[in-house]
Amino acid sequence: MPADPQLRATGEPEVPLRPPAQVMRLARLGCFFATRLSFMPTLLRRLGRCGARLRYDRWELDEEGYGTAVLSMRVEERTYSLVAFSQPLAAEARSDRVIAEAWDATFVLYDGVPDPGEIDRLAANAPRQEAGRFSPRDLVLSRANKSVRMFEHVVQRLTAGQQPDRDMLRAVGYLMRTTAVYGNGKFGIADRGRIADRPEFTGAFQAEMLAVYLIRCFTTALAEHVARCRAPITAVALHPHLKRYLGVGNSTGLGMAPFLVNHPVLINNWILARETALARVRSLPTAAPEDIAAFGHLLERARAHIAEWHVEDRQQTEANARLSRDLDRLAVQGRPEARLWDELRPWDRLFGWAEAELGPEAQELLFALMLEPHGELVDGLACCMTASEGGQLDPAMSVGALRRLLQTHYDWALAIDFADPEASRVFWYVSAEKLEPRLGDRSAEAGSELEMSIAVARDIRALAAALETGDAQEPLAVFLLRHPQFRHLVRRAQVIAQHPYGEIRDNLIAASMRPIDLLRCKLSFFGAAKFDPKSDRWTRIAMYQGAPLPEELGAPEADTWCLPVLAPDDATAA
Amino acid sequence: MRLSLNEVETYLRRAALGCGVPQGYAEDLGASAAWLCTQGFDGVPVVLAELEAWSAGETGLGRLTAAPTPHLAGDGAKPPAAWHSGPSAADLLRAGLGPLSFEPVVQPLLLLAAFGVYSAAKGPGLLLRWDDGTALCRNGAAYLVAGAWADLEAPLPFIQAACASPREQGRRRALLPVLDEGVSVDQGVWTRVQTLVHLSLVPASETSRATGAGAGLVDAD
Repeated sequence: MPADPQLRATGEPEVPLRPPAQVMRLARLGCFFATRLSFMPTLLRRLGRCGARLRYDRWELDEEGYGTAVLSMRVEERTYSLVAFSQPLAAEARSDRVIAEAWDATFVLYDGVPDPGEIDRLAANAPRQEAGRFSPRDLVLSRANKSVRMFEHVVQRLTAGQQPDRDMLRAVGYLMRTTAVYGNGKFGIADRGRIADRPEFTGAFQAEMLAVYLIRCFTTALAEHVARCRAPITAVALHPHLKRYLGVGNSTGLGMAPFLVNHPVLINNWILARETALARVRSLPTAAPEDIAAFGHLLERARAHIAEWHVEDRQQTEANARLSRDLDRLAVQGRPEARLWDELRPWDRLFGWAEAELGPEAQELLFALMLEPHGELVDGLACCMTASEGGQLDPAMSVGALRRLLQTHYDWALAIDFADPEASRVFWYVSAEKLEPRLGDRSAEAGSELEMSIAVARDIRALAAALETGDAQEPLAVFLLRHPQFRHLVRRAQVIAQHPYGEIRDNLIAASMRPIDLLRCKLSFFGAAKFDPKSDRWTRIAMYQGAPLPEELGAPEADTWCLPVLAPDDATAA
Repeated sequence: MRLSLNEVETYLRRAALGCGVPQGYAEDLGASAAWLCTQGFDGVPVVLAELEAWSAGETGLGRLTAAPTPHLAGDGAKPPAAWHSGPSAADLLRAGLGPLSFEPVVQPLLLLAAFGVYSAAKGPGLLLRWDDGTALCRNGAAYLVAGAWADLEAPLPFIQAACASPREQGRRRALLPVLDEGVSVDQGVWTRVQTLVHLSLVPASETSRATGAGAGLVDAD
């Protein structure tokens, strides 16, 4: 299997990578957890390495917390500023829907430190979000709404000189929820190409992740500010332990799902890096005692974290219950005194046992846990998780060669029976409302004639049928002149042959398809946690929960912050 | 107004889809629009004119004729659409089936753009020849070998295409700093693009609203 040159340079692991046929299934992708290769921890490691420090350049908020703030951070050789606009929001206007038109706070990650004129420009546009226009100096656009219940509770407690209730912190985990984080040229902001060669933005979505990290800083500072205004004498600051536990929430829906289909090279590189990391750890001939100890500590934290992960969704509740039981078994199997640690390739043995004995959620969580103690072995792979181009069509390939290629890489698609109406029950389309991707029922809703090109399995079957009628020796350049409707599929199939982790091997228009699996996959790469599905089409998540605070970046203990737990016996008890 | 390069590529791709251009060619056309803008051509109006001509039924799909040499012809009644002829010609050349000639297209700049896009990968440079001019695309850049760039802004009676030899040289066209400054587009032109984009969109319904992110919850929680 071809690998990225940077992956090859570090040597292929002895234990093979899990094959695409195993990994690239919705049921598997929908069990992914964040790992240390996810984009949030990758960013924080970089911030720590370069000594990034947060500065409040402007804090012009009234006693209710409304106004303008500028938080800046110097990263490598440049300074980036989060320009935040906080405004009153009527209860009836507060909505997490993408179709909302007003928010509690709006944000721009600005390239540099904005002067007053630039802040005025942003003040006229950022609160309007999609209706505003932006410039190449603006790198990321975002907005957030308060979790009103949580925000007010925290402010009231701090005002009274007390810390917030830990049960409430556990139940919500953030003060504000973002409802969109836009990058790469949306609404006139900077194209990815403008910043792609900056070392601080090597890797995927690093500018967006920086924006969200600064938003997190803003939310806790905002709550402390309002508390201080209400009671200048008695108000206290959030205890760092609780502040660290607070992340940023997010509501995410279908808009994110087609991304995984439309960027096969990029997705291949994400998955390939992840699978390479796992294979490297599995290939280790021995396990160092300190790594076994770290793993055991993390496993205990994971069990506590799962116990704090409460959702209403029935399917996720059942999955979490199974996961808890599986982690109990894993704790026995992987206990420090277990014999497996003395055997050759103990990590491989442990993972092999998990594959045979545990459910997919536990396998994927074990994956994340195994990577944590092995930063030196795997962290360098983060720089491979980008793609400079989408792949070009090879017009010299013959019809016969493409036929064989489809039989090799799309056997799963060719086996689907599309005569069954349930196999093509749904269709993806772009809604006229804010250009958002949506999912429709082909039998009940209008618009299927404008279907997006997401139905890869069905369309590849059609391509295969057309190829069967062609001359096997004919170059695709000629075939496509007669069959222009297949151009994107020919290109896609050729790209996938070189990037086999770039294709989700399931029928994305089947009645049984769960978009939430796509969302969880992508969000896990971001570093999200506490997936809280609200339907099979959208979910709430927490970002940066447990992450180091700005003043803690770079500290050794700040490296492993996944799966946070709010200890019941913590000294900060209210 | 000023647009990002990504907006140019995305919206022109969607506009092409709205006009019924097949997905793969719509992707090429979006990339061509962005390429033209980076090269300092007024790419958005060029693509818009091409799509409006296609929508009005003024152009048709090209077809390959073999005699006496490979030739991309129209359907007999209409000139071939450049969105189809450009990538198709790039395909044929890269497959070793050139040189070839074209029936005139309405927007010859789109032939150059397709060559620009498809010359970005490893492979030979692609040459476009007209009566008194020659342009070369190599590694995604455009070079003028002879004639004037302005020649490509109107239909040309004679066009040929071929793979370039490594020795072929020309004056490189200066790039515009569009990543730093954005792409300047006339508001009226952009409004017409949006009209085509909307042809690719499905109106929201109560059903779609009821199943989207955030639906069904009190967001003040």
